[in-house]
Amino acid sequence: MPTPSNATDSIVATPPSHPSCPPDDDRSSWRTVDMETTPEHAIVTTTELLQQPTPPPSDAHTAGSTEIHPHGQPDGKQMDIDDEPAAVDMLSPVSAEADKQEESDLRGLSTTDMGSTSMGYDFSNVRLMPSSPSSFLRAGSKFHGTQQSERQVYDVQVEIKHVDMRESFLCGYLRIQGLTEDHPTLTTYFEGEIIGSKYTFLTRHEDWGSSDKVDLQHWAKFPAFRPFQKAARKGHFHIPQLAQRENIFMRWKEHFLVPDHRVRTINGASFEGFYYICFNQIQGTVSGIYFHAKSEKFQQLELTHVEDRGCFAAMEFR
Amino acid sequence: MARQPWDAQIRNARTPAEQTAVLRALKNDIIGHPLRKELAVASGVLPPVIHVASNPPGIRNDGKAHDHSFAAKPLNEDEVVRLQGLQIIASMALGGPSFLPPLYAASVLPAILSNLCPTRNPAQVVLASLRALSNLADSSLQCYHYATKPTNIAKEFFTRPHTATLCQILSQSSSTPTIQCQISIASALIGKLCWEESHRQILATSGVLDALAAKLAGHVVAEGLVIPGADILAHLDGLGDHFPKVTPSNISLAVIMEAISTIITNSKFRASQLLYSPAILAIFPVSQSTDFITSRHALATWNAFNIAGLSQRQSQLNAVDFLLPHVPYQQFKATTAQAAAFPPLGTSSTREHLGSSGRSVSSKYNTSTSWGNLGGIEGGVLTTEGSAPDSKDLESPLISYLILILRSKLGMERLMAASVLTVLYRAGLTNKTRERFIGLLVVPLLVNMLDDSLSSLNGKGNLADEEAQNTDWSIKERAPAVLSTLITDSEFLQKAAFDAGAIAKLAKILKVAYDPVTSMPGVHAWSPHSEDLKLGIEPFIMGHRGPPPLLVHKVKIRESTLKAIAALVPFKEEYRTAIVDQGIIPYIVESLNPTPTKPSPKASENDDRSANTFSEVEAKDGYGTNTVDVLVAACGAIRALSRSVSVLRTTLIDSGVAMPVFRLLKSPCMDVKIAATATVCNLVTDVSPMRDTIKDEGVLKILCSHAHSTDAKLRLNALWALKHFVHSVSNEVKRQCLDELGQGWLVQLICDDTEDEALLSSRVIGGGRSNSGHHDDIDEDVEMDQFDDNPASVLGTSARSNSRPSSSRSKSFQQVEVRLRELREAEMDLARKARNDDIAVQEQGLDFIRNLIGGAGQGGTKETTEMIDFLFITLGQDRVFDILASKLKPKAINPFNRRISSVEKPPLLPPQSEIITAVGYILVHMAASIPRHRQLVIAQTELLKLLVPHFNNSNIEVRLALCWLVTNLTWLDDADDGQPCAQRVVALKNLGFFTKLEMLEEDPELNVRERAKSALSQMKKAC
Repeated sequence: MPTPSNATDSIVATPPSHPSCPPDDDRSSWRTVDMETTPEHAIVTTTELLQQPTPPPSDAHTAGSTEIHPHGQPDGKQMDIDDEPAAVDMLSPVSAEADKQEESDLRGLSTTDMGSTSMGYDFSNVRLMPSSPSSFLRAGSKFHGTQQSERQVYDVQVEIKHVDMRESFLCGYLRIQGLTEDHPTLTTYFEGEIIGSKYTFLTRHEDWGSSDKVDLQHWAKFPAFRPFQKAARKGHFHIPQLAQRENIFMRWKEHFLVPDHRVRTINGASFEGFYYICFNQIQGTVSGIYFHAKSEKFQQLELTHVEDRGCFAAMEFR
Repeated sequence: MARQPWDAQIRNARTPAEQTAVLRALKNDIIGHPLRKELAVASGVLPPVIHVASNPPGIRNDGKAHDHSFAAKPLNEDEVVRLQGLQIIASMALGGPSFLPPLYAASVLPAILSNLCPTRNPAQVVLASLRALSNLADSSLQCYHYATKPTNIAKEFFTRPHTATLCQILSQSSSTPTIQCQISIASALIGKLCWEESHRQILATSGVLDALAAKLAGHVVAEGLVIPGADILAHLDGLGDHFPKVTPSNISLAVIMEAISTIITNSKFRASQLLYSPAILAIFPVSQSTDFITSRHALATWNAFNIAGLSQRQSQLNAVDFLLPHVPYQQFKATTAQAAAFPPLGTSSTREHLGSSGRSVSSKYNTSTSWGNLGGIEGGVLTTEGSAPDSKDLESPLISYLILILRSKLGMERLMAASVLTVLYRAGLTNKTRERFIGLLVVPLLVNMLDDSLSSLNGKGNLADEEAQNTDWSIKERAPAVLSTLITDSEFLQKAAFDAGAIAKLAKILKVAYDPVTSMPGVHAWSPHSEDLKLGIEPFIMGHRGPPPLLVHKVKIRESTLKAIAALVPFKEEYRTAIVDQGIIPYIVESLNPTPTKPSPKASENDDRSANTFSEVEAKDGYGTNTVDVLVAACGAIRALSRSVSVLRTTLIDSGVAMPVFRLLKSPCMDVKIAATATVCNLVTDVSPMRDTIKDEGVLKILCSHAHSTDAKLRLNALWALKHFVHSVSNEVKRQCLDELGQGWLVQLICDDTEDEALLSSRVIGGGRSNSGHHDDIDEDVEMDQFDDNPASVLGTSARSNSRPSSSRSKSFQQVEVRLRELREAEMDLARKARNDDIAVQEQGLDFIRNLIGGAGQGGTKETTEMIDFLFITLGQDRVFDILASKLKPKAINPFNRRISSVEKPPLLPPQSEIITAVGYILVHMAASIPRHRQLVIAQTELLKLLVPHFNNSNIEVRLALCWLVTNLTWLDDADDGQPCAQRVVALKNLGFFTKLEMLEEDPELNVRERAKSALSQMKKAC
């Protein structure tokens, strides 16, 4: 949700001077350095990445790659632009212990069919188990913070409602306060495109009003984007091991109002633009930049995770 | 002079010759005259006709069986009488549903069936009785009310003596038109009548499937598509006698394949029986060998082909494959790149499995969700991996053959080939690479069939036109259903269907299926009796006229289209959006209504249709009656669509989906109840705007009562819905919910192995009710007997010694029998099914508790504290922890329910990761509450000990839950808690939690590492 739309025309972009995105604190410095060395590889091998997700690093238990490699290219390491230095010599919790046997039995049973005939033969029996990369990014997670325009700061709350990493998808509610006088609180439903496998850094929605240039301009405001800069431009892009990375990039697009989706317009506010989002999995922070052609440029969204101490409901679509 | 009534004439006829004359006159009188037929029935002609038509048992059983295969011996007088009688019955049966009650009242079935046996009856009589049966079946199928499905015919027909007869009929090899016609009608009958699992089993084991397979094989021979060298191999292997004869071309391949697919559907065992049936094995040997390539030239070609970049598939190619277009190997980018980044759905400890199993994503889909694994073998006791013969992993060339004819034939043949292929594919009997073949070569053809229009009718309503229209309807009714089964659970095939434009086509045909059918005024003629009479009790009173055939056709289309939608959209938001964009949601919602009206985009929420929902209302307004199958399919479609927050909050609420689904919860039909309850699971989530509507209608009471059902599926769905229901509602509602469900029952659901015990007791008592809901048709004991320990008898009744090769002669057949035996063991393992049902319910029960006491971490501590105390008071504090501990213990498999009578102690089943996760989060929620609750949790030393090994669990969720548990147990709220907190840390350290956490700091999962780190830092701080 942008700031009131009448404020738009007065603003000229002040990007360079503006410290755009989240303060780049020390947490990521060594990682950034680390990643600086690899992006060249990433770019060189982008096309290969498309066909060949990284083979699982030494241990089969990490999330991700399960692809059969038709023409074996055993050296997955150089393509692996993963920023996890420990991944190689890591002890798998399974292999480390003596009760491995028990585990494998358990696995044999549970892969097959927990209650899988429960819907009969005519319908899908595959369960829609929630898949989310981070404890901060799952159904029920809440974030709190602000959206900042040139003149004003608005209180913003976000609640994630559903995450489906396989589909690079998430959705939730975005609540903004004090935007207009008639509506002290406005809540919208938004959907997120997670950039990595299904979506690239380039927005492929004509009706969203952005261009490749606008995309890159906005992404460039996130320091964490730097390693991907070159590759992102090419459009074809695939980030392997997405869930294991510190930063996850997304686009959040508001779609309709909650609770009543039939209210299409609100006086003094619109939700026609979208946010470029950089989510830090380790800190649980969300940084975003709002974009809409007719709104003030580079409005910043800064959210932090609301502590929940692991209290999630069990929710699984049937 | 007045003519005597027909019945009197028949009764008065003294000699067979006179009888024949009368019957012939009657036949000529009524054929083609519906009104005269009615008149004849009203005058009571049926009982005498049916009497003279039956062939009383034992009379001609003088050991001198007729042999009609070669000599066209003239019929004797009795036989002529019966023939005439049967022809009259056939003509009557053709008259439509209204003739059925009087026919059945005059016990027509035993009469027809008594003329069926080809050794006791001349070919013409057998043919006439098959025709009569077939007409009866057609008429039954014309009324779509569930109760009148031709189950009564099937029940009589598919029993032991008659299945043997059926087998005899199908095995005849004479090429006379009469015999060929018999075979065609008999196979068509199977397709029409076989709906039930028990019937499929009987047909598969009684040799009917083998006989049909031989006909299919005969077609292959006729087309010259036998694998080169197969005949030699067959002879070497002792299968020579089973090498099929050419099937005459006047037996339709489509009909044979239809019967086959009807029998083998939903079972990997039966599907394998087809592949391993002697005739198929003879022409399509499963074991690959290049020995048969005798000519040098051919061998060179073979090798060249394989070297040409195809070595990947080398071992998988068979001769028929060379007739198929080449499918590029890497076509998969988009889908796999995505899927590879994240694990497939449904696997419980997802990521780990994938990695370690080392199978491709596609194979994962193919096998893990296939029917075949439903009864997979557990615990490695009976493991087939490794010990199975080589033939296990090799694909039968039949698959390639089916794809080939699918591509070369049209119409019904194409559809039925697709149908058989679908069964084999879903049973996991195809190669892993086949998914790509099917996606590129088969799915687009099937999608095209959805709206292939009939070429042209000349509109004169002649027989050929009618025939063509019937076929056309039949294809339209089935194509969506075949597509649906094929693409279920395969994202690649779903994408293929989507790309081929399936959604627009499905939308179009669903809309057309709701065009009202105006019943033509001319059809309803005056009838000689008043409609008010009691219907269908007496043999001379007509029954209800069925609905117009077009309407029946439309209702069937609704069902199969809805199934296809349900199969297409469960996993992708894009597909759901595409469905919404087609504007067919109102049509789907209307399909939830047993008596539909015109679908409209804005359904009013408070219409009062509920009053006469399930009364058998006449088809009004030409929209017909939605059958149980339509209702179930509509529930499935809505369920798949409601997996989206966006669709729930927009289109579904606008279309007023809540009330129609809600009404179905109270349906008298169990299948509908199960499907509706599953749909309600999504409608009562906290993201659903329909939640309050159905809450106000009193969904809670209904769900709680469903949770008490004896049906395991209904229990599961109801508990699932309740779990969602109690998430983020007020404590008052939560308490109400627990009260309504009953704490005792909840504990029972979680603790008891209800299904397992029921199964056990039913076995011990013997013949008690089989408790696994819908599987109660399986007559375990009877089936068991046949399959004793003698492998030679695995494949059928020993009576037909000739239809199966003796295993001593054929080596490959011995292997096959071992393999089939294993499959059968696995599939019939009711104990395993029962256990899975139990575990699934237990998981939901634990999650219910988890949600009941949820929300502590986000500031609602007071409320949560209250709920935790409420739980302790209601269930008993110690009992709660005892239950949780019991769920973490490995469980002994009930020894009486095992197939293998081993003297060793029964194997232990480790707890499922889903169960551990649920237990873990219940404890997390408790530990997130006030210090008092934390103290309670830490005091459960035994329980915590049981958790320790699960720090090594392969499931991420389990490891995460444990990290959170430590975090919450070592949480420091205020200074007062400082001392106890330090003690808790010491306790955890003593239990070994600290070391385990240090290990998790090295976990491959970023998320787990982070949680372990924060838990550790908290522990260190507290010391």
